[in-house]
Amino acid sequence: MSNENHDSLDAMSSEFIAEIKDDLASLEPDLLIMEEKGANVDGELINHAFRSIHSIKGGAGFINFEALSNLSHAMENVLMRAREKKLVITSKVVDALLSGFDKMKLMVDLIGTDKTRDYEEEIENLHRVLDIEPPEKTQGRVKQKAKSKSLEKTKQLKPIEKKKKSKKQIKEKNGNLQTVKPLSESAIFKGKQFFVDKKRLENALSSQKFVYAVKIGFENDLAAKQKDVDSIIEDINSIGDLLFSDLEDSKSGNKKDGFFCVISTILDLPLLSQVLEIKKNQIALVDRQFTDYETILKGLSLQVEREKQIHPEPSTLKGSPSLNSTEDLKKPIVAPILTSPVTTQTIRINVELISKLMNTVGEMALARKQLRPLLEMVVEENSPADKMMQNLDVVTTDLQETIMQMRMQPIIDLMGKYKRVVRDIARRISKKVDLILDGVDVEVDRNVLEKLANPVTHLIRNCIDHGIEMPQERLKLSKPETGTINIKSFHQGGHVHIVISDDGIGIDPQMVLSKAFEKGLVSEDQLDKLTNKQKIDLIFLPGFSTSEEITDISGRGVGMDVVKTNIEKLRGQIEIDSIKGEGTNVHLIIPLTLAIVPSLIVSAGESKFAIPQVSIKEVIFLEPGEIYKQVENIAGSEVLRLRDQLLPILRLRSLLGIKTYVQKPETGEETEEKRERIADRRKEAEASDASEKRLEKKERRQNRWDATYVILLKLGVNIFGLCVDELSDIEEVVVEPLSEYIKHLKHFAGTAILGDGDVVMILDTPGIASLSSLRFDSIKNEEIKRNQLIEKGDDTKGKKRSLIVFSNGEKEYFALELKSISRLEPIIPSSIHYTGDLRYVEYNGQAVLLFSMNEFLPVGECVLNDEEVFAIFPKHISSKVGIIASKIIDTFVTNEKLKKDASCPDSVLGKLFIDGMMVQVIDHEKFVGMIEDRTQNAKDA
Amino acid sequence: MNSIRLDHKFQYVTFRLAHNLIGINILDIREIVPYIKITRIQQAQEFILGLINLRGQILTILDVGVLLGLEKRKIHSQSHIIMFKHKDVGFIVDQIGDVIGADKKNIESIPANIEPGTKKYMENIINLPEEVLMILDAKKVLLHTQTDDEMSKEYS
Repeated sequence: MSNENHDSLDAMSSEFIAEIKDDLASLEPDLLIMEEKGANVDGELINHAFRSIHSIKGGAGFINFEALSNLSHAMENVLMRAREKKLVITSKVVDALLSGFDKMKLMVDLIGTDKTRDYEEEIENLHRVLDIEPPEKTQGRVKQKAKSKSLEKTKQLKPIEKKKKSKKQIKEKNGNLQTVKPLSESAIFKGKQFFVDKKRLENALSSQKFVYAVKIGFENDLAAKQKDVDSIIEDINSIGDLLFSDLEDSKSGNKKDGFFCVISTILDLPLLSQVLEIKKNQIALVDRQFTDYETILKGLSLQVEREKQIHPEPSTLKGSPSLNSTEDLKKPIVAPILTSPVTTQTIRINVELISKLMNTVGEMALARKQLRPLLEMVVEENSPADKMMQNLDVVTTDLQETIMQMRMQPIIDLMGKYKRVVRDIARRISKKVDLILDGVDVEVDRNVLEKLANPVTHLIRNCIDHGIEMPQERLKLSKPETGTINIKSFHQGGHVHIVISDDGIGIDPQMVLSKAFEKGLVSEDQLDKLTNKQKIDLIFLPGFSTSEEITDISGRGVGMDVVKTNIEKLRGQIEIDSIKGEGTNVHLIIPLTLAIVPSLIVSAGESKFAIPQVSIKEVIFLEPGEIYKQVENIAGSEVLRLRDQLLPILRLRSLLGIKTYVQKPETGEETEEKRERIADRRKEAEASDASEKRLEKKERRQNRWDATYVILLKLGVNIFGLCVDELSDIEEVVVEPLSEYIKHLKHFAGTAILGDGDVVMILDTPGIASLSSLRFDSIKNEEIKRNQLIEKGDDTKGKKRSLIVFSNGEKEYFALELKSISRLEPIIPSSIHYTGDLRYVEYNGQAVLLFSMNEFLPVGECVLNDEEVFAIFPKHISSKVGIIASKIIDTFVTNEKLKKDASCPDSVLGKLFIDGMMVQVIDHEKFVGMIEDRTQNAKDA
Repeated sequence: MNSIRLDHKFQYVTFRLAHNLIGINILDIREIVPYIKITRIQQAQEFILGLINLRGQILTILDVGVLLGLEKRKIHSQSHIIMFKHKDVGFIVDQIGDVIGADKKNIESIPANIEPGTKKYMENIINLPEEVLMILDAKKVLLHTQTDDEMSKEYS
């Protein structure tokens, strides 16, 4: 790349560079499909690739980027041969092309710098594919197997003579000459290239003229039609310009059958053929190194098509392209470019501009929001102003959505690239892998797409490297030899879901576990406590890699951990599940855009914060009764007991040092509200509980200060709670980065302006966790230990039970599972009939035997007060039997573990604390057995 | 206080901070706005007061009083926010005063007994008939808060 206009990249050049990049981007998939199809490759595909590479060459020529131009030329030659069916597309060919492609990409990146890339190797590869010798360095250009090499050589060595006297004699260096090549597959033009005065060529092109190469045969075209050389030249001059002819050469040399010339004219090909009385197959459009090449061709091809239908001419139109190269002559001259490339109506826009526009529109939406309540105060409903306001609403929303869309890019832009990645990796480790893309038109914010590239690449690499087995292994497992990786993208619930699945070996949870144990990532007592899913999730731990050996593709031990972090940075989630031997599914859930985040607005003291919804698992309202039951203190840390899990909880106030001011913050008088730990509040609750009657929650619920919300936040697989004072709203906030003064504060992810114009800080889940130095391992261990303790006594762990709790008198509480009772009947003690020590009650005209708890269990006698007692009718008993309860307390749903100790009778499942009551949960089966015995006894008696 | 005289070479916007009369070169500021609600940033350094929403732009507000080691003040109806010109940063002042013009000859160097902590952010002083005007150096304020920030980053 040595050139005068290269040091300064003007606007034009950057346009060209952009175009070259686009062409490069469209080239790669073509090459990959070509490989896939191998020998059966479709001509159109090669043409498409050819066109791309050709435009690159054109662009490179324009900006005088010789290296790129030469390389693309070499690639073009290969494609040309493929197009002529003289070269069968094999992996080797595609390899050569791809290596060339890669180098071109590098070169393009280096445009504008002084660096250049050595491309000899690639050129050599390409030549090897073509089976031709590398050129003897004739200005880096590669010659094709030309029909007459000698002629070409003379052409290159000798300056070209111009025939026409009126035209300037060009006797300059090659620098002022432009190489043109006939765009024809006909043998006549094979390997021809002509040197044309650059300026004249450019002039011709800028005035929208076609440039043709014409072969004029002395015999057929001149002698047979009573013409001579001068008259044909005159004819040519009457319709256009003669840019070049090799008349002199052919006269001086031995070539007798005719001469070539290059002419520019406004006539299209069929017309030219008529005017000059030269057969169409002797005329060919010239391959110029210009980018407007395609537009001209397009126009032309359409005309040719039309023409074709009017006068079918055997030499140009007969026969579809055949594999036989001898039939090349019959191929239509312009057939390859008949189908015009798809044109999309797009313009390039600076991303920054769009961002700015988006911000402005966001501001507008905000202003509208703020205006609305003001307007509503003064404007009547359905007044013209109100209608206008509504209109404005619609328009702004519309505008906002449209601008959002501008930032969207189809996911194919990313996924398309993986075809190549998969191919390369699979080849390198000699596996056979197919990549199937599904839902490629799903659109994602371009920022998101950019950030997805890394993790997805990693996942795909993992699939190929660790997932898909070697072909022979797959055959043994009666799987198809070629493995499949399927990437499916779809929208769901405001998120983009990407599922990457393979049909490979899958993940062995046991292996993951032992590996994790080996590396000290799991403690010993965890080993048999984890579910398969949890075991698989261990691969997300930092420093974990299952690959036996480290390859250069994956398995450096940083893998999934980094993937997970990256996805989480996108506020996304990653889930993995795998069936050993059948394959692995990685499920990514990614927000549509990074800029707008639906967030929960919470407050602690005077300050409001936004918590992105994606990181929230659930929100729990704690009331004193619940606090007493749910919040525990483990070695100074508070944990929340929720559905069998112990979750660490943090208090936003104390974490961020938020003080509650009794007076306005402006006064600066800081009277702190001194609240202690929630767990400490428990004591108060206990104290008050003693005096108050239990279960009267209503009153306490009204006590605002005691009510705290716990937001359960997801941090990877871990969950922790964050206590806040109030929840206010869910808002879609536009995230703005932290200013440089505060960007070191890791517990904030950014700032945002709320609908009311207030500025809030957005909380960052990992940041908060690290601020409070949450160590999930220790807490998990604690939890596991606890579970073990409980499990020793009871193996029906954590079962969800609906219990009916009743009392048998003073402070003795029992519970039966709701599913095991059929009825609950209030009875008046005076209506109980006594027979000996048996008690009956009349129910639906039947005498029903009643028992009290003390008849089965070592408990106090049932206290029958005067007003009302209850009879509980258990299910699954042969005769009607009721159990007397002096009071029905309530029904509870609990999944707390039952604690069974030595003092528990057989018929009691275990003890449970509900709202400070010790409840004995009755084992229904055993209990029923006892009742049956009793009734039998009664009968016998 | 002097009235505005445009023929002076330097012009300073004056303001009060904890009863001190302080000035800042008019060319260093972008605008002065009445007090806007400031959102505090927990765990930020003391001299960072918080963030404001100025016409949709989120700006950081400093407390220059803390930098200069002045006594703590309350925010009141007279409080204003002065925005620096070259950065999205502003600071809060108790009261805005006049624009004062000064020639080079009025400008004096900082007395030796002023604490180095305060001196760090000052350019020089102007001896006005009634009072002494400290001139705040915008560059130094921005620079020093920045380096302080860098430092705090290291141990945070």
